[in-house]
Amino acid sequence: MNIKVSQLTKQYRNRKVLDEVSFNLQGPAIIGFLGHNGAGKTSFLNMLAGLVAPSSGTIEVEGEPVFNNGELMKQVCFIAETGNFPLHVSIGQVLTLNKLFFPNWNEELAEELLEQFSLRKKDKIKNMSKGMVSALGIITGLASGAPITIFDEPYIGMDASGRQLFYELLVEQHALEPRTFILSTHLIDEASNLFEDVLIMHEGKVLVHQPYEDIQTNIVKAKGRQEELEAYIGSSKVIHRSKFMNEHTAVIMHENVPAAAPASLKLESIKLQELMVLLSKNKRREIG
Amino acid sequence: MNIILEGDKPIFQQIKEQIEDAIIDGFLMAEERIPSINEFAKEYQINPATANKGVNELVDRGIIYKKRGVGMFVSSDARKILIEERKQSFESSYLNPLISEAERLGITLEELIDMIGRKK
Repeated sequence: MNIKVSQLTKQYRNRKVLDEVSFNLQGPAIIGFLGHNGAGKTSFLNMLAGLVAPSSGTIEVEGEPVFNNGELMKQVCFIAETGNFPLHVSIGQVLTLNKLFFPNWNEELAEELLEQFSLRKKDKIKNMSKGMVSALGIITGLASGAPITIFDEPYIGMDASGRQLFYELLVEQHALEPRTFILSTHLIDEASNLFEDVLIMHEGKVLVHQPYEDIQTNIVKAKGRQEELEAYIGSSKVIHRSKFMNEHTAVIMHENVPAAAPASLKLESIKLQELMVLLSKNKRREIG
Repeated sequence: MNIILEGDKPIFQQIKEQIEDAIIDGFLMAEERIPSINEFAKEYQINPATANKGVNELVDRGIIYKKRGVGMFVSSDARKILIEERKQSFESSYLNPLISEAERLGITLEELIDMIGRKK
């Protein structure tokens, strides 16, 4: 599935949450959709799901605008953080509704996953714990068979083993039937190895959009003496600088695969989660 | 900036090694003040007691010393002591793995010496 975003802007009253954003996402792939709180992620995902209209600009899936497009909306399954299901219905009823809505619904998989997450069909949403409701969201997303499946912080209240199970199932389903999975999460260290593509939103703009492997090679942390460090940085962008025990450290974003550093500099790759933390520290800085 | 510590060594030992490296590489000079326990704890995001454990080991070995109410300082012969210690362990840490990998690949000792000779 091809998702084309052009000059997309979303404004609530006088607050611009997305500011003329343009990018393409090409599935099938597992895409990490990251950004700190208020970066515009959920607004974008709501628009991608066709639930919210853009203020200006367009989102097209396979060349068609998504907003209020009934046929296209069936191709997109959006699992939000909370509020995915009415409180008074049972799990069994949720599955029946899903089956009616999603053309590629996989009932067999849903049944199997209910068992894996220890859920019972007769239980009502209002009587379930947060983690159990999250599990039902995950089951819905995976069994929907939707060519675009969005998980926006899907595991609120789930423990580490539940989340691990989710990651395993996601990879398994993607291998069996490649789709476009968009995973938005703050638990980046846990999930980052799943990503093929990473998109980082920052204050309503796209700050980074690269294959995960490129991020690992192009964004590096270099430590050493100031003069050598400056020489190595050259014209590349610096995301963060610091000094500890007289040693200078810079997190550098190279445009391309960087040249070899002098042996006196220590080079480390940087974890995505740490990168996010540094980016949110530099809120006002313009990068990329 | 937080330095991410690796997972395979006890944290206090990594703190200790970071300080040792800074002294050996000349970032921290003799008689220079080193960061406080709280600064280490904040920088590496660890419990101050853990930072203290790493630092105290260096105090015990005479690499750094404490001045009450002032802070912690690098001893005058810290670098000398550390380099001596590292030389002692150089064989087991670097030479032995080098030789065993060379053997695995069928590189003879002569070839290995030749390679090293060509390096400089």
